[in-house]
Amino acid sequence: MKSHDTITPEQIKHLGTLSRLFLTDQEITSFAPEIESIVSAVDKLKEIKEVTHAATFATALTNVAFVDDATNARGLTQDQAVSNATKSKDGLFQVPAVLSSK
Amino acid sequence: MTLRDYSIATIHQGYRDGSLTPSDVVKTAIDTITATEPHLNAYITTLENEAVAQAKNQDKTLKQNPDILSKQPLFGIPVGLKDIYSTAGIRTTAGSQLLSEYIPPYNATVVERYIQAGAIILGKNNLDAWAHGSSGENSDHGPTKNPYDPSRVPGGSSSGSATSVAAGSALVSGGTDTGGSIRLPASYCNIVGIKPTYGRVSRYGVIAMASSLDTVGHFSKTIEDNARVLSVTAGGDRYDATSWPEKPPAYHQHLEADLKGKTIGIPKEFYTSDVDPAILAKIEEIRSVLEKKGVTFKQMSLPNTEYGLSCYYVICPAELSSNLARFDGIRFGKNRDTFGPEAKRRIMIGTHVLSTGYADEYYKKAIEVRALIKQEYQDAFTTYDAIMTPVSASLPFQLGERSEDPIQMYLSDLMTIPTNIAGIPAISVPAGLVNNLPVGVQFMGNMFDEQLLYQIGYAVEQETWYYEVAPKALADLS
Repeated sequence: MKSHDTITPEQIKHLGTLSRLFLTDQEITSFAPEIESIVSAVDKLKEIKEVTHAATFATALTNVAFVDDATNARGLTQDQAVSNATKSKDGLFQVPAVLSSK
Repeated sequence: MTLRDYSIATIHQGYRDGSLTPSDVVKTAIDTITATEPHLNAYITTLENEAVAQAKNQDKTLKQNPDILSKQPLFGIPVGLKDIYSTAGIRTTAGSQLLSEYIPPYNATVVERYIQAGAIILGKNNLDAWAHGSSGENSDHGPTKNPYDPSRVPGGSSSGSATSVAAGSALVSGGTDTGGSIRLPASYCNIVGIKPTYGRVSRYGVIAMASSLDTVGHFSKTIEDNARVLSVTAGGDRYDATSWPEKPPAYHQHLEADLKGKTIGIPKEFYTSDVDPAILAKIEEIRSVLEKKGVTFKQMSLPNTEYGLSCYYVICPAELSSNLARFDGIRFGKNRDTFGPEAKRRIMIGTHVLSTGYADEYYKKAIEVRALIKQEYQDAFTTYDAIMTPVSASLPFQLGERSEDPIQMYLSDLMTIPTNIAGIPAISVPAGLVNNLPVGVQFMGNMFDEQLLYQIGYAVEQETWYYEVAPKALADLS
């Protein structure tokens, strides 16, 4: 039972952009049928027409707030925080340029 | 002697009467690691030097302060940890290439608890990368093999954790279960695996897959060992807002219980013709064992079971696509093109079901269906104390048998997924072997009813002793 538009390579390219995956042309072609078959499988959910329950959460807890105290014993030092950075300078993360000067 | 011959209690007895030291136990573990790792690949990182040094210190502590055993419930107990638990100063890869050089600057809360209880960490266990998998074959660090038959999978995603406990290269191992990733490998490796109630154990510092489905649990050979460890790991954590604040009971002190009058439900949706008859036969035996203890079994139905897989394969990819967005190749780890194909597939499905034009049709519908499934289990537990099902429809499969077709692999989780959707606890207990291949039986319980699951498991274990059957393949390895 097919109740969705076939997943096309164009859509895969779009998903790649949305999820910052930067797919190769080969990946775009090979992923399309795979994603298509998985989406077909989950189409089964559409058999349930009407749901009268409100969506529930996984937990019975409500409104849990973090205690805002001054001592954060498990906080990281600046050095620790950048210790795995690809590039860091003066204790800061170096990021690729987002603005180009023209 | 290997770790397979010990339990937490017998090791501590040895420490008490002087017949054993932490260094003895660590040496035993390391000997097994050396002999079996080339064949099983249960570890990504082993910490032999650190473990030996820690054991030496503990030898001294034990001499000076024998009372330490009553203060540290896991003192001198060698454990493995799924390489998805952040360990300060120790490489943590999540089974991936992307994080292959990542060294966390902090410990996960659950790791802190193992350490404060005196456990000795032997290493970081192999897993399907990012916990995406049911067999161990999706690891970026090579697949783990099943010690009962190394041509077969140990189950996943906590593949190395299960293999190390079964092989004796750890006494206990910490894992995670998002759709069956503890229970399936436990059943394939003839050991006990617990998926606690959602929120029972803190998720802080455990690399996230799907935040509303992830649970932190563990493996052991015996029910008692498993119960002892849950008393250590469970309990509220201010760093995990979804963690349940109540202190856990001392589960191992209440294992012997009168089960007369308890009712266990048998949901027909889990006992279809798709299940290997040899597995059904094993489950029948377990039923007889429990009936002799006075348990009543009743046929029941969980009609929304058929929607569990679809529900899960919308919610799980959606949440993981969000969680994996943090891997930007800037603050830690390599670039996003280092993700393997399974991770990319799941990220894209998640992105798709959350995207404009599709979110209502998929994600919103899936969380509504989740509510239906959750309600179905809540209603069931007003009548039944527990629910018994197989863990897997099939015996441990061959390496490569399911890895070509993602959907075939996803079907491995059919019986285990519903409990993650509902948030309820479940345990896999050894139910015997078929042609030397392990079979597990699953008991599901009401929210926070792990004690009853342990009591049922204990009754089964003390009649059948299946965990004592060692992996034949190991004898050939040393």
